[in-house]
Amino acid sequence: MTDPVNTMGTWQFCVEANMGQARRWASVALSGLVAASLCLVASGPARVASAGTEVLDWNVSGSIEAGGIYSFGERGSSKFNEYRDMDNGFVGDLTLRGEKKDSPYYFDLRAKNPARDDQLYGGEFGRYGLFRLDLGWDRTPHVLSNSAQTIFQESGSNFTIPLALRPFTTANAQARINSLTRSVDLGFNTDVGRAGFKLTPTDEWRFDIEYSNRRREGHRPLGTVIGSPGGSVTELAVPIDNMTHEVKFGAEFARPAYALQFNYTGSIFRNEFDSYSWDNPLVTTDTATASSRGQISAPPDNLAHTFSLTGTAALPLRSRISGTFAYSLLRQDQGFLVNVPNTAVAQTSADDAGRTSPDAKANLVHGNIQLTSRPFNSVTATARYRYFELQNDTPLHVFSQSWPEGALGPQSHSTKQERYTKQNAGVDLGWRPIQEVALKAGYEYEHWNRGDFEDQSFSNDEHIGKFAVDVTPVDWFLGRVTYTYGDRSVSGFDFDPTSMLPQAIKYNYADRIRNRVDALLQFTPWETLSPSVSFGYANDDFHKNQFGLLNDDYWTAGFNLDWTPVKWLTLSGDYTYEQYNYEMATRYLVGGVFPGISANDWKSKSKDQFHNVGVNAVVTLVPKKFDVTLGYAVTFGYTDITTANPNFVPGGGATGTQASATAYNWDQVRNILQTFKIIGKYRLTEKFSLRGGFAYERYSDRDFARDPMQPFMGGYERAVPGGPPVNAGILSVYLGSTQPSYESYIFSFLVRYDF
Amino acid sequence: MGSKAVPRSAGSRWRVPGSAWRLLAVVAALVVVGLVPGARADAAPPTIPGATYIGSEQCKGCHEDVAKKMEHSLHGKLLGTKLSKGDLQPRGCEACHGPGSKHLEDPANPANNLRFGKKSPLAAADKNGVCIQCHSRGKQILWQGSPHEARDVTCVTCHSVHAGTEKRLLKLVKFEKFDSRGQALDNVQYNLCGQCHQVRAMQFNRYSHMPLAARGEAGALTCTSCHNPHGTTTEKLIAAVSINESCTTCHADKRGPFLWEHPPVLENCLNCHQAHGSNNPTLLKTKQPRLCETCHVGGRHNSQTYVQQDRKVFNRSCVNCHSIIHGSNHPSGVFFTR
Repeated sequence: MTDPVNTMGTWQFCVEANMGQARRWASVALSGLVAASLCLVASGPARVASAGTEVLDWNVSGSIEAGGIYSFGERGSSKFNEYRDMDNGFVGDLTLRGEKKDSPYYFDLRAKNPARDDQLYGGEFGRYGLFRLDLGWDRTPHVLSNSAQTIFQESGSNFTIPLALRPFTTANAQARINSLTRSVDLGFNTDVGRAGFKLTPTDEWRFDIEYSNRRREGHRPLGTVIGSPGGSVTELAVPIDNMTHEVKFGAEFARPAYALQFNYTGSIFRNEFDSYSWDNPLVTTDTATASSRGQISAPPDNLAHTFSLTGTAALPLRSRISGTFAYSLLRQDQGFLVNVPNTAVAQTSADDAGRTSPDAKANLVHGNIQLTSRPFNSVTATARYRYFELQNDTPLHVFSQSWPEGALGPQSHSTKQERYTKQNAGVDLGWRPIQEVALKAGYEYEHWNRGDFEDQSFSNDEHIGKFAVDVTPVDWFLGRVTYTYGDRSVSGFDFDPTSMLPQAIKYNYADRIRNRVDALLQFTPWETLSPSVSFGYANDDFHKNQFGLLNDDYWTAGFNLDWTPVKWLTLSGDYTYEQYNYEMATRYLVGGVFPGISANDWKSKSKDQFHNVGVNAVVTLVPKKFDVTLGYAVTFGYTDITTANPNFVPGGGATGTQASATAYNWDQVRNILQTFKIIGKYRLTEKFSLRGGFAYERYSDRDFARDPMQPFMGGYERAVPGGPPVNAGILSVYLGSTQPSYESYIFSFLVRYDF
Repeated sequence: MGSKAVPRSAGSRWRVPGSAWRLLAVVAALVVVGLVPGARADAAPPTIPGATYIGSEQCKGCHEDVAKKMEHSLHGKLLGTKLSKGDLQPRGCEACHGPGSKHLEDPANPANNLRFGKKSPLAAADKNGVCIQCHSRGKQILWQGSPHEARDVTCVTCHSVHAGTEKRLLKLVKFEKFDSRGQALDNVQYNLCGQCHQVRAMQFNRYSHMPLAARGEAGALTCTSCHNPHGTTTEKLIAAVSINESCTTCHADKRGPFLWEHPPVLENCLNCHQAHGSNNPTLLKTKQPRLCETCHVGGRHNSQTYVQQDRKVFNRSCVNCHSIIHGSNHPSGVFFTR
């Protein structure tokens, strides 16, 4: 008997494989066509251009580059072609620029990599000093994973599993999942088209208008749960198809003493999907405690209008005042989905007041005023004030039939009106006592008011002091050092001991002492040698927090060198090191009951480290004929997460450390990308050149969270490291999407003609 | 995430735009003050006492190479040509370098004309004052008082006035670099900014990063996609009303407003993300679940330590279940799982 699962999966796979192949052949054919066209286009003006760069009263210049790439090795990793199309085949680049003879008109055209997934086209036509028309279109791929597999059949936003194959049980889940899986590409293309027109009719007036649309299409992973979070996970490869339209308009009137600028931006987001629905692999019939279907909302349609007015004016005593007032309206009113896709319980698509859509409204108010003055040659002073407010005007909604946790039944939840204002006021004073030294000192006060955050209203005050010194004792050296100190405090925040741990304030408004130092040293002793060194350190100490984020700091150091020791050799090298540390603490609460006991406290430290090394060289082997560019770069990224119990009490029970609170370290996350490139450029004539290149890329990746992923993860979970499997009865289904290591060799060859 | 309605007093309705209107009034008043005659000396270019204008043709006699370089630049098109407008542009070279008669008499004396190189005796503000005569509008309207201006960065630190790349006259890097396909990298702006912001530039090499033209990746993302180096009203020179408004220009699906808002999302995308690059997926500042646990202390499952072989840790960790973490529009979406 034919296995319906295998038949369906194989058929679908074959169809998709054939379609993929067809697309690839079409792409190759189109590439060839475009390449031939490019050559024809190039040969036309090129002949004329070489005779005098004049074509029909236009002075034409530009370049055409055409060739191909061929790569081999492990090309299947999504990291290999994350934001680029690395398929073997045609690559090309055309630039064309023209200026009308004895006339101020010009045009500029660009086309890059036609028919590839990262193609780009742009054009511009204008009259110097009067107007400019811009047009453009480009595509950016984003490949998320090439290893994903799904068990679902997809029809728009609806995901199904044949009824005959459900429900999954612990006995059959592995076989069912493995037999149903089919490959699915996770990734999407972003296509951006734009058109703009800029007009400067007089010295004083300027107008510009621009329209752009951004379309995203593809698939991305989406985790879903039907029951309570923490239960079975069903990961879907959901389709993306959305468009953002944006219109900008600007008008400006400017004279030397003052200027006024008005800008409007309108943005409309439209999503083809309002939700995603799927079959519950574990349940086939709706009951009061179990749903056979799941549903999750997709990003809703929304729109935003922003109006802004900016003015600037000169004042006596070499002073200038500038101000901006901006007002944004954000709106969203997409209809509610049904509260639960379960026909066995009361279903509704309305809140308790009978409203069927959120009528979500937020307004942003932004104001800025700045006065800057230079009363003496050696003194500058700036005072500024900034105001930002998020007004949340979305009406409150109460849902007494909300089902956020599946089998736990309906719950009552009401929305909130989180809102805030942020105000900054500051003064900066700059003094240059001697030509070689500039000193800056500044003070800033920042004040936040938050409403309806964590069910309460409270405020933050921060006092910030800044000091900077720039030193140029000789014209070949520049040193810059900046130090910033900040002291932030929260007031009006009330602890609820029944729902909060003591002194566990979220880091974006907890009391904080901030110290930060940045330094940059640039040397240019000769035109041929320009090293620079940078250093940075910052520390945020959440000194009153006992739980939550306690401390975070980073330090960085960098070195860069550009050197041309001899005419035929240019070298550059750079190295940067970065380290980020986060330290947080929390407490395991037995049964979720506060305040718990200190034996169940645990602290965790996350450390991210990065090393970047880059070395480049250009060697001129035959002057004006043949040069070679070499480059090597390597980036190391490491993440270490360690966890400890500071008050560990053996034995568990009522006074000891519970198993769920026992701390374990996690494996190091590590990724390393190395690239080596060598490009040889040979000029056949002044206009014709050949370029051949070789690149070696090696990416190695190790991530304990990503590497083990498969569609069926039964038997993988552990309660303690190295312990026996747990949660065997949990039947989660994943996509198994990974980003494996790769090693690839890429050859390229291009012909270029400049005209 | 709340489950109870919060009673509000009348005073807690934050209709505070009154202060914003007051601010607008102050701005308007000061702009009017700025219109009074004589209030025009804020950044006047330095003068050369006793010098008179001699015309650009005289300059070309000695500086032929510069004149040739300028031919195809935008400055070359508009300065001292029939397209020149206003009083200044027709002056050609002298529009920027000042009247040239004294320079003609004694070319070696740096006080006899306005120079912009490192050896120039002019202060940064004076050098910039020359450019500001024309470039105090558009994206440069907030230059004065901006962080770069305050640190004596000059226009010529980044721009090559006589020639440069593209229309923005950006300074060229020392040599061309190529991507793995052998195509030249569009890395002028990235390298230019990276001269001072080295670490920021390097962060784009991290495992998780946005597509960057300077890496040979598709898309036209450059530093100025998010920042305006000439001055803005927002911190970090963000070219939008706020950081969130900058991010949602491209990520409009996360803009909302949503029925259920996740408060740190409303406040600042950078509460959780590192825009320039990260060692964690989706530009997260630190690895989940630790990132989420820095705020979500106590509670139910988020207070456990977990081994790495737990479903709340592997794959996408907390977001395995709370997958629409930026906000939900579902009646049952209070925990961002619907």
